[in-house]
Amino acid sequence: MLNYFIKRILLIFPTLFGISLITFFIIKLAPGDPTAFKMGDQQSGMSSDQNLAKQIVEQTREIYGLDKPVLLNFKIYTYESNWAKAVQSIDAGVEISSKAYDDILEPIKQADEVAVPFLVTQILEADLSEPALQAALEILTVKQKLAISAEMSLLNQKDYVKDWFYGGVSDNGEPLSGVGTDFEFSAVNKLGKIFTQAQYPKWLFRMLTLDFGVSIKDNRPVWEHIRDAVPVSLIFTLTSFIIAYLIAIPIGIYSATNQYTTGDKITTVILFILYSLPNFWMATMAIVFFGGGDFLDWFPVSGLHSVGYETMSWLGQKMDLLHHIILPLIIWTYGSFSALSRYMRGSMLEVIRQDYIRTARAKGLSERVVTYKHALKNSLIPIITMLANLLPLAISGSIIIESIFSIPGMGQMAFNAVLFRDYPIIMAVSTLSAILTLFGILVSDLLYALVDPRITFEGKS
Amino acid sequence: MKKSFIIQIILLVGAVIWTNIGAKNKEVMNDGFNANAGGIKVDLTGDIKIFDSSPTDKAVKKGGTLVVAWSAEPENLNYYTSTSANAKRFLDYIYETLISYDYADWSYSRPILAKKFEVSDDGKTYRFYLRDNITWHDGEPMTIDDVVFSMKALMNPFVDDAPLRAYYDKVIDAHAEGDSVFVISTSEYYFMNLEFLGGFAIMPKHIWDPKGYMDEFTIADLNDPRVTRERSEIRQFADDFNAHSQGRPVGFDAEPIIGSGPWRFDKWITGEYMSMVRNDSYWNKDEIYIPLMAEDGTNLDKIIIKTIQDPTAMLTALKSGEVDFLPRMRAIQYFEQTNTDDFLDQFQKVTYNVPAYSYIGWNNDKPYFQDKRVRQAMTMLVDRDSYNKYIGYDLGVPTIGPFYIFGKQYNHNVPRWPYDPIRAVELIEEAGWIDHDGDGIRDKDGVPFSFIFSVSAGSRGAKYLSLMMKEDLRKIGINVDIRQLEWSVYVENLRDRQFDVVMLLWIGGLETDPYQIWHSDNIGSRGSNYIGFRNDEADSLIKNARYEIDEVKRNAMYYRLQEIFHDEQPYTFMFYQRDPGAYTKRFNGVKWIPIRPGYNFASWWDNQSVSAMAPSN
Amino acid sequence: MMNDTINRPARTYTSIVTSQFKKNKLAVYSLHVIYVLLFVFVFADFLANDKPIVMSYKDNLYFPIFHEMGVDYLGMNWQKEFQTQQFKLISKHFEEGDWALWAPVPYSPQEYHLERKLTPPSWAHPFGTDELGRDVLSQMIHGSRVSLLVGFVAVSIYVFIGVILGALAGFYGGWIDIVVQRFIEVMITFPRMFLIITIVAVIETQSIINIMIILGFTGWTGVARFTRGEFLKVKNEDYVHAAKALGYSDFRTIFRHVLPNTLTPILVSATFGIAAAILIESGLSFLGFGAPPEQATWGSLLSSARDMLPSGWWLTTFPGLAIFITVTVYNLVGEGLRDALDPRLKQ
Repeated sequence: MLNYFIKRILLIFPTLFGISLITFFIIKLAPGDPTAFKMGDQQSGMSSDQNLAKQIVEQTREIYGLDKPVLLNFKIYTYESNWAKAVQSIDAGVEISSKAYDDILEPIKQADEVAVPFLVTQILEADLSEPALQAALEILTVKQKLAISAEMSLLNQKDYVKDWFYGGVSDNGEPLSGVGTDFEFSAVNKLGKIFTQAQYPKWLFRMLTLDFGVSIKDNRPVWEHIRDAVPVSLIFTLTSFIIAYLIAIPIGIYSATNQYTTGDKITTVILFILYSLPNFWMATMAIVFFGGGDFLDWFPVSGLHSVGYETMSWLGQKMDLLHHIILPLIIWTYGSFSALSRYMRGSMLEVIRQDYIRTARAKGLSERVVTYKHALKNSLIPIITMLANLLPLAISGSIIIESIFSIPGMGQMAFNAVLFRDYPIIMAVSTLSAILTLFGILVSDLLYALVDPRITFEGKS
Repeated sequence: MKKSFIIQIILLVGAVIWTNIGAKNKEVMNDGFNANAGGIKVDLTGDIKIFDSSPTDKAVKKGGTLVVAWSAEPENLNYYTSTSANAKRFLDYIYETLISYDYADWSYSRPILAKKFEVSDDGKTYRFYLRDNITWHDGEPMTIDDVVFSMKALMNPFVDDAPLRAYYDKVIDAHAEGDSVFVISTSEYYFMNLEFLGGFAIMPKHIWDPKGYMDEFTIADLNDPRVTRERSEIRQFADDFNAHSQGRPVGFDAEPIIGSGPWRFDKWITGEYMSMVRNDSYWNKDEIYIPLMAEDGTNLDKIIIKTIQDPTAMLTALKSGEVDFLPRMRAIQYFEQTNTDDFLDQFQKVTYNVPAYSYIGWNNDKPYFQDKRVRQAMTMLVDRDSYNKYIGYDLGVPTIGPFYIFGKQYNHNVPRWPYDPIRAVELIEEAGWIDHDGDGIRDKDGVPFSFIFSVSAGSRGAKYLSLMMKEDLRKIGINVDIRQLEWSVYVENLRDRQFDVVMLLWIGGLETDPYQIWHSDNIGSRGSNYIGFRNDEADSLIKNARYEIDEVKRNAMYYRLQEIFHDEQPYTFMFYQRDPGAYTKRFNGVKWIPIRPGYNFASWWDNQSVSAMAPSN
Repeated sequence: MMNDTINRPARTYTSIVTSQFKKNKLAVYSLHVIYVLLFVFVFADFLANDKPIVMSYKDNLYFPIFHEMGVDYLGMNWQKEFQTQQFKLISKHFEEGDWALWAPVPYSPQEYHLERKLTPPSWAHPFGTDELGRDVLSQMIHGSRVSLLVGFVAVSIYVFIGVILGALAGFYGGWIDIVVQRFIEVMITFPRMFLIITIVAVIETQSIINIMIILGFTGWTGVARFTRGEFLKVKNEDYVHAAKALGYSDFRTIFRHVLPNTLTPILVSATFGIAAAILIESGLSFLGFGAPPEQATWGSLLSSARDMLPSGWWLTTFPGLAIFITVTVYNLVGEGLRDALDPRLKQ
């Protein structure tokens, strides 16, 4: 038994690694990238004085390391052949405004600094066609932020690159050293770059030091975002769990012990009806009818605090919070009764019909003792299984309710991060919830074993 | 079992009878919904460029709090790195620029922080004379160093403000001359230079760069990768700047943002609200603050900007008094849900203009849209007026080109294409799109006339229009597929030019430069001309106009450009937007202006305010 | 022996289940509602369409709705005179002897009449019209297809995967259990939202089928864990040892003997699953990742009209009721089945 759980705990680490790898890969597979939101948003449209120019996109991507390969950077070894291929395609007439053009230049861009001396020699010495030369100059310009504009003549651009790399004389006559030596890398150096110049290893190394990075959207550390949002979501998830369990389990027991009575039927139907009302619809109705529009003005409709919250007394603050919480909390909770109480009822019914319960009854134990002492304990097993889901849910929040009631919780944060392609936040949230899920499963198995002695974890022998 | 089967049959037959009886009296018209919703329509045509929607006969009172609802929260409040329009809107009350719009003639020339400015004859060098009585909110005086520092921060290549910096790429030098003159040089004249060179927010150096990292560098240094690579201070400063706590002063006890404007930052509670209070020690309060807007500074004590994403919650909050002003509500709310006497007694409804227009962009490089006759036909196939009337509640102002209809660049002599499906079909057939293979879809050279209409997931108008087009074009043998995409994918597809048709909104200003969107230099991933519009005459007009100093000559070029657009129809230009909004009648001095966002709180005052005079600090 | 079984017709397993099920009135009524839904599901094209079912035109008999199916699925072409498919226009120019039998709801879900936008329920439009002037009833009839399909397809996929993996893990334990459990863990923690977004964005033609498949392939973990749990519990019972002792194959032991005894919680979770899938679809529509815009679903109808409340009450009420009735009905039938299938009720 103990061995089994030690094994399980050790297994968490490779699983976690696998999960993070797959997640990272999937979210990178999704099209779209965070720079899109720097161009405006769908609600207000695009600003015509913010342009989509590629240079802007690339600069933004570079600041956040999004221009690197995802897993491992082998481009630092293959850039020469990549470049040869690119030159071929460019000479074959790939249009500069097409996506294909960017795609063929992508590999050499990903080789990054390692490719710089090579590109410089290509520009200065190789006999490139004009479009290929332009392409090479463009890569250097964007990546190394050279002060080259497309309007300069090619010869001037070449001169600039030469001065920049090998040194020259500045405008006011001072001698300037070139940057050439910065781009000499030893074999070990290069080997290191396979990892340091790729997105996933970078992220993993950071994670190992518990650094989630900064959000692309607002440059704030990710853990600050999480620190702000978790308590908000916890208020709702925990309260809602407690209410749901407090109400659903007794109902489930009642339904099971009073099977097929009118009371059972009525509670069944009511719970199902509650369950089947889409929560976004109910949330809107709640706002319309209880938020003080044309109907009742009972509750505020947005946020968690009134303006002037900070000046209130301690009690006033708590009352204010409660006032804001009630409406979303009801919407949050009403649908969860039925599933819980159904599970409770189902497993209770099953247990009641087991032989040992009959035996207990036959022994002449009172119905109460049979129900609450013997049956209840065993019928709690499925509920325990559900507890495993509870842990990650506690921090996951609810996208729909949080966005309708303008509550800055985890659901909204994660959803916005997904829409924005804010990779550091997405990875942080999914890693956290992965850890909690794995932990939850482990705990539930442990409880399972403790509650039901029939369960063993030894292999089939 | 039998009984229930009979019940089902009865139900079914009943339904059939019910609906078929109904089919006979189907001429249920729903007209006149738009007739009178009890609101004021802000009209800025002619010389009227400021519109007052509240009674003006009362004496201005000081004090009061205004609560406004916005639908989205900015990601941060760093003036340079934030890309959200809401951040700029908020910060424009707190930070100030050297010069700004003159509300009398709408030129970009009203001195604010600069008491005057000079432009050299060749239009390349600008000299701004800074006032000497400016103080920051923390009491420190503003000096010329702050101005120079702000420019350097903006130009730092590691600061995450690439979209903004793109407008300063012609700046070659910026330095202080003596204690009060800021000199900035550009490599060439550009007609919108003043708006950019005088229009960046000045930030306090002692807060953002107390260690003076940026002191020793010049603009030329920042433009030179040899310097920026070697000097780690530049990167260090940028990292600090990007993540500075002033950019995100969140919480009940955060350090406030230090600006110089008439409003002080008060609080930002993430996801809930941002607020600002009047700056009673405003350096400029004894002088005329904004001519024609608020003669003696600002009136309100406090402005709170609440974030409410859900439109229903927003309107409910207005009705329940949680919010005083909704700048943008949904058209259906404006026209159908706010017509009770109660509401109209308590609130003033307004529709006002914003310089943003919607359009349908045809990818000019796709086989079906290469021929301008087809594009003209497509324009004539879109029933724009019905769309505007029924879907848009007549809120749109029809436009024929990309320039603001209330600006000087707009050519009012260019006619609008009519809605004329018959003529359109003729043009399409003239262009060779005929159903050769008899499958019901027109084709040409083996390419069927079947395209994808990309719709951004959040855009209701585009969704409805695409549905209308799908249904209409099906009848004339053109197949439309609708693809709904979320924003980041949508933009990526635009950038990669992987689309057939899009419907979008361009937000502009009073004056705009068509270069980014219309010049063939900017086709595809290199700029915003993602529909691939190519026209030699247009190219040369756009280029020449940029550097034309004489305004009349320049606008003549733009007039000609609009004639070309009319003929080429690269877009189907739809409508300039009017936003519907409402505020409680408690407020007076509510003025509407032609620039974004269409309103300015400086002039608002609370007629129920109890404090007749400003409290002195 | 043989005769014995034949002579006891009333006591077969099915008949026990049926008779048990019939005792539950609520479940029986609910089942009838499902029949109606199935009827609508199958005959949606004939219930709501802008084309006539049968039409006599210029002495020829046409079946436009059947023909449309031919065009959509068999690659047929429209007759020249009907190429525009504007049968209503044609019917206005009917001459002597021409006639048409229309569908009970003579509107297609896409057909719009802007001048009739947002009309409240009336004889012409029993459920009113939406912002484009489309008939809501017609959209709901066609939307029922999606809502029902989502539930069935997604749940079938995930119950299948979940039961098999869960059974294997629970029955054999050991390394199989470890691998399956890791697999479950990976799936549970998988960012499902991102998968949906990715698929929606990558696949050219946006379709609700993608959503069903994703829900199916990511949703099986609950069933798998449940099945595994039940197997863990059951595998040490006497009858399993007996089956082993009799030398039955593992396959037979699992599927013939153990699985039926663990079916109850799985079935409950499957019926809840169907209901949940319908709700998830509506939630996805709310977030903008549901069906494509031209395809009406109950969820998309409800979510696109939601923020118009309180005006246009009919736009939310009817789709909302449809979702709520369907979901409730599935759950009630599932409940009934659960009780009826319970092996311990056999007496």
